[in-house]
Amino acid sequence: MPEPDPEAEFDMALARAGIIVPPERRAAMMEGFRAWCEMRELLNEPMPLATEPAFGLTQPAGPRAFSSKAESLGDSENATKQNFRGGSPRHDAAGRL
Amino acid sequence: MSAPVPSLAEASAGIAAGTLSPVALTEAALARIAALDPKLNAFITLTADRARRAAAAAEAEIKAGKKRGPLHGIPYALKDIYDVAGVRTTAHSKLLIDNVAKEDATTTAKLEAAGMVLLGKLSTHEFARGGPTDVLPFPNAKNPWNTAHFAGGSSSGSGVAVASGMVGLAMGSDTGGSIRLPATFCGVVGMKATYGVISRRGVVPLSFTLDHAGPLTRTVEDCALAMQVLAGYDPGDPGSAREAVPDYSADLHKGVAGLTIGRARAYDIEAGVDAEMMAAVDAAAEKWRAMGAKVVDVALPSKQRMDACIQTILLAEGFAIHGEWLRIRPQDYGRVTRERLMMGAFVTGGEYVQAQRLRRIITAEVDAVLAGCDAILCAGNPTAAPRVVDVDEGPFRRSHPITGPFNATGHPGLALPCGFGASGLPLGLQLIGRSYGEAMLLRIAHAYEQAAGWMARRPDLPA
Repeated sequence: MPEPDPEAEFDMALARAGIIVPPERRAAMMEGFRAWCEMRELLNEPMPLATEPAFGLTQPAGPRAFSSKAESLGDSENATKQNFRGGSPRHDAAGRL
Repeated sequence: MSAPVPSLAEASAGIAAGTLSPVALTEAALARIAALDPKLNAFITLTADRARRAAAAAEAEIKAGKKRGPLHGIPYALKDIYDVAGVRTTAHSKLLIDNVAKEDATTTAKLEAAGMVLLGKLSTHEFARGGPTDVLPFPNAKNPWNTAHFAGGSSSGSGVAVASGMVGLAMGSDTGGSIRLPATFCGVVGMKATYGVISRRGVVPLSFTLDHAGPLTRTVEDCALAMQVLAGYDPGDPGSAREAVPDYSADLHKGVAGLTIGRARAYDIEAGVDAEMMAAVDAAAEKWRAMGAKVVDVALPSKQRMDACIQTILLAEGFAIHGEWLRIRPQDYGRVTRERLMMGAFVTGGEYVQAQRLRRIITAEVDAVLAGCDAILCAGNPTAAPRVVDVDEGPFRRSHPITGPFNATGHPGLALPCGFGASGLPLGLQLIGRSYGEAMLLRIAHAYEQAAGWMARRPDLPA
């Protein structure tokens, strides 16, 4: 595994993002970056492969032929519910995920 | 001379009884602001003329028998990240100094529909991200208990306005603690509701995952009154929750006998809560026990782990929102805001996704804790409000807010006063509830508030 080079990573990340740090602020930003590098290690905890992120895009229901008016009303209600679910994992009324 | 405005409940009762007029109430609020705001800097934009017109209209409607609800005719104020049609929303930044909103935020529209009277837009940390020492277009809000101490943020103006008696309801926002921290430092009540309960539409975003809108008020009862207006599904907010809005006041007076409070003492120790704050929170636990609640020890997930989750998301999403301006107009941010947002450049896509996966795990872990208690109790902050000169204004703080993890999990969090420190500054606790369990939090909080009586004490302000 290559040896980490914080200074190189710091410069590359900023260059990639198009961000310029004034020279007089480099030391302070570098200190923040090192603290962040320590923290991000905690993200690497083992977890089952199938653990989903806490957001998900579900496609809205497409148009389809309906056999009855009642069915079409039910489907259009589902279409409203299926949308981009940003934010918190959705809990049901009992508070379960 | 000016006097603190009455609480929402007191004002509502007075208006209903015909002993208090919306016009007089609004004039009293404006007089209080005129007396104190030059020193406290709670307001960025005062909408006095609009307020007077709205108060007169409310009074006329009420006299004509067209009462809209319990908050009709009562003044409120908004953190200057909430849009009001025709009024500027600056986010306390040079970048938005001339930004005039075209339409009301959903929250604004709801409060207006309830007949409330807008006093103006309140000071905030820049883009809800900066700090109290940044040099910004408007002066930073000051803690009314001691102006040399931090008012908390980022909803600094909101905490200050309520604590100093300028207004009974101030809206804030909370991405890592920005309602609950000013509530703790200013000695008022602050509610970060469950994610999705209060609409974020028309509120300047900082993090789509972590942003929560919510009220700051003097009392728990006032918070319940405010929540009744604010909560509800909004199709204009993609994160809005399709949950029925309960009657937040119905169970307020039921007490806590038979309920279980989970004391997260180990979490407080990990967060570095000092002896004074710990003693105050423990004393609150004893008060609940004396009122018939069971108090049990609970173990939350490690704060360090939860901090890694929320900080990654905050950095990445804040950078996504601000990246373009950071590239082309970095000089127009305050130094603290600019550097904190720039830190997002260091987060990779893989790290962001990993944080979101961890978020699902820790949310389930907190849910498991809440399966065994009606609310989790922890400190509102490790200490009382520090001196402004001692606030960590670095790009990446050495320690992260005790409030933050519950933005990642989305559980509701209520901050309320639990005493005063040796310095005379307020101490505050935090109650965390089950998702959509705001009514239970309010019930538990109200019982303590009435028994402890901390809200009777006000900052000593020359007015």
